[in-house]
Amino acid sequence: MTAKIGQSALRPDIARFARGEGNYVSDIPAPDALWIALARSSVAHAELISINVDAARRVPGVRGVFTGRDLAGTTPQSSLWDLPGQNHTHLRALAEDRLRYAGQPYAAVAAETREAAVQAAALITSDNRPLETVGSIDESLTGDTLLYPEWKSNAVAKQHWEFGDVTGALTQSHLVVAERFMSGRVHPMSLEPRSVLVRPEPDGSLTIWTSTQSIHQVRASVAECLGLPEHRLRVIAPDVGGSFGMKACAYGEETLLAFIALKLNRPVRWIETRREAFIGSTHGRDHRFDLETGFDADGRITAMRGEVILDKGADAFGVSIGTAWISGAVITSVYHVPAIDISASGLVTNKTPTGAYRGFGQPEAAFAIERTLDIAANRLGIDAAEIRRRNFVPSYALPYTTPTGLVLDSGDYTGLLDLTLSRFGYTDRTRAAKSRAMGDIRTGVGFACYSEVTNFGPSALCKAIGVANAGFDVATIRMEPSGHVRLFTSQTPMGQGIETVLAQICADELTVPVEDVAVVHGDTLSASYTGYASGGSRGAGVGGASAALVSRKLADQIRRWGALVLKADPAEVELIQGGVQVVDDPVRRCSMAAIAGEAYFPSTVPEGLEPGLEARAVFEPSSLAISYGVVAVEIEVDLALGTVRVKDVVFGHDCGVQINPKIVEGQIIGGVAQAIGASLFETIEFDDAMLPVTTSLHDYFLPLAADIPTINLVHQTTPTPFSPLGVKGVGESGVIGTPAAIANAVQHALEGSGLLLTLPLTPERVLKANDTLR
Amino acid sequence: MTARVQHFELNGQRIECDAHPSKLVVDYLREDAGLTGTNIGCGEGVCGTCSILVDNCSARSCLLLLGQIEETSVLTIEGLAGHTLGPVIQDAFSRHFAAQCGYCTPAMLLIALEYLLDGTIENHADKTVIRDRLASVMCRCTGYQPIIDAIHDVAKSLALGPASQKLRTTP
Ligand code: FES
Ligand code: FES
Repeated sequence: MTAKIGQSALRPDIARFARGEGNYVSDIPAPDALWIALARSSVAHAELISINVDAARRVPGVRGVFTGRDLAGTTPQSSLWDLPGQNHTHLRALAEDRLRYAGQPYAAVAAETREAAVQAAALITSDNRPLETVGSIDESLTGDTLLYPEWKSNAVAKQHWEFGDVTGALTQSHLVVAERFMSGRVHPMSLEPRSVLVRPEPDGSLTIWTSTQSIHQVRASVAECLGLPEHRLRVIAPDVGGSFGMKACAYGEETLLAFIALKLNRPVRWIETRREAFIGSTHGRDHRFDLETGFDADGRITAMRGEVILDKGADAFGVSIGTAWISGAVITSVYHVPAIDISASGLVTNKTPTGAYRGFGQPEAAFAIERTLDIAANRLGIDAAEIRRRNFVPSYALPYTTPTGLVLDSGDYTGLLDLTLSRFGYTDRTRAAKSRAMGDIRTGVGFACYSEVTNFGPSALCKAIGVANAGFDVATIRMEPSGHVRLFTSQTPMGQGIETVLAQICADELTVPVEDVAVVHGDTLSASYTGYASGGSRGAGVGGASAALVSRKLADQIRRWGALVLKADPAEVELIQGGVQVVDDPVRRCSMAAIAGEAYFPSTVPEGLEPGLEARAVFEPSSLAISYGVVAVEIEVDLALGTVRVKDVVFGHDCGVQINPKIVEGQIIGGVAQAIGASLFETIEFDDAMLPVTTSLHDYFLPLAADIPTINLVHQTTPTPFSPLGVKGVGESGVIGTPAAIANAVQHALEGSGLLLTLPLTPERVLKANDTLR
Repeated sequence: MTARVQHFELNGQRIECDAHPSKLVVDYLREDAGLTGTNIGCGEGVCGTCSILVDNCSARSCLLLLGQIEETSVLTIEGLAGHTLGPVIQDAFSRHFAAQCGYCTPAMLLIALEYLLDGTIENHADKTVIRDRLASVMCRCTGYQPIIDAIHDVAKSLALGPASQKLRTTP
């Protein structure tokens, strides 16, 4: 099958999944492996005085019990983001002298069976001296109780952007909207929990199978923590059952299992339970954004002053305060803002750490700015679409550097807004909504714009903003002697279909059928090093670019070998339809197999070539690519119950050139569904003692099929000038603008009520807003 | 404890097994029978990832004990292709991109089969009805829409009437 860029080539892995042949870490047979179970803190904050492991050791089948003391000789896990002046938590996989959140592991058992391991772990107890808990941003700010006394405060790091005369502009503004926007704590909730299997190999090396997005980050982390050389570590990510950022960074369990495997010289495995996933895998969001925005009488933004604070939970590992950083950096979105004063910071609290989750600070920022624009439009008596049109960065001004230093690369913001709203029937629906009130049911219509930072990279940008890993991507390629192709990538499939996208790119460049390209991924043994694997919506734009570049290098070799076979001048021949032929002379043509045969079994090697067909290419993006879009929704609120139903979604977006439109569509629809969850149902809660309340899917409500309406897409295509294929990312688009759009629509339905400023819009919050009807 | 031999049918094959009757069916499938296509999402009966069909009805295998499937006929994803409709549903899932990470996919396919063969349903191609039925399995990736489209597609092409077929685990 030909599968050019722009065609929706089928994903072969879907057929495999549909036969039950998915291969997740927990499916990998390891009958000789010991099972690991963890003892986790049942208190939120305490000094850890001693650990009692005797009973655990006596459980039949137990082969080892480990505590923080055993790991004392290892290096603490470092943070992926390291901003100037950042405080570091320096924690190891098991707690040592202090427990900082309920769920923090402090001991591990290795046993012959899972039952024995779990039973033994349950018998482990600790003697603690309770400490006051820090349960909120406000409590953390007071500094009365410190999680890391050596820091002298609870602040991890702070970033500040300043541009123009904000105070002056705000004082002279016709209207200032100043509100506190809260995006609640949610769980990324991949359906497959995390899972790790480590096997010591006969040659003294270690193989680590783990459910991750970032094989090289895991390898680097285990190597650093245990002082192992990287050529003795092989990290494999087989099928990954969803990830969404939650599996973007290395976790302590990978290091811990590698440590135990080496100590006991046995394979060891751990499969996270759902309860553990709730307390031990990183959470998302939990941002508070205080935003003051000035407007002139025509609704043009004059200035912004804001402070975003992330509740980082107890450990600043992984992406550190990265989500707050991005939130601050993107607060001006696709709007022209003449003056800003924005700060972003993260504070530690006695909760499970927050980390990367699809959207990465951008939904939180979109919620603040898009709610602000609706509030301002309402107060100024300007239409919600018109106020945005007046503030968009115009197309002629692109590329445009925002006051926080991001570059808006390409697009037509007004064009997409108008197109989306007209497809949605915005004007008619807005008018009709009021007349549709029936009993307690109110209809609301709303929309929000969004921007998405994609093609995360420029290594220099990564350095500048404190990201430890570089942003380039390496691809290698080989045409085998049969004329078939293998591409080696460190981009990691986790359900997004990146392997199909990469195969399409290679097939397109080499003019071969897509079945003739195999993509090898998820293995540090075959993939070249990539610091930042699949994350930051960079798979297609950055990974795809290196796949294109490396294919072009290979194509050049193929062309020259083909010329040799055809006894033609290399300048006269071209790759076409899976072979090489003399331009305009289809009779003089040879197949890939013939060319590969010549390259691998040469009678003579042309000047400048080597036997074989292999190439390597690096793509270093010169800048980010900014995708953008408009989400329009119609909702129904039940005023008696406070419940909200999303009835209809029209999603307009521009992610540049689409390689596989069905995959793009899937990314958006799946993202919108997650955003509906985060907007209406999903919330991670703690009690007064900071013990987690939400530890089961009985208490955490993922959207079900009946909660998600049909989502219709509107496409606009503006290539980015910063990627050779013009491709921007799309993986996070669905989640960014949707919460703000839903909130705007609910606010519309509750006309005259109190402002909705906190996500999720639980029935309690909706009823409360409605009670304050003016 | 004396081992009691259990008898049941698994994907069309007669099974005699001496695993303890209190063993979870999902553990039996994955560990003893080597059928790892059935995935575990929560292990607490909520997500539906571990769904299998027992005597034509979907059941959560993480809540089911071996003793409870005595003398029943069990269908897991590995046996789906053996059913007349199996390949049709599998093909529709592929064409509609009805999976992303694939973790919920085995359960979704089995629920789809159960639904398509449910004789009490008036119109199998009604997307609202499909949506309601799919509420028994969670998917975190797809937003359900392509799954609904795939099932709708099969329903339309088969134009299944009420009580038109009986679920059989063999062709
Ligand atoms: S794994 Fe059985 S219902 Fe979730
Ligand atoms: S495809 Fe990933 S959970 Fe459904």
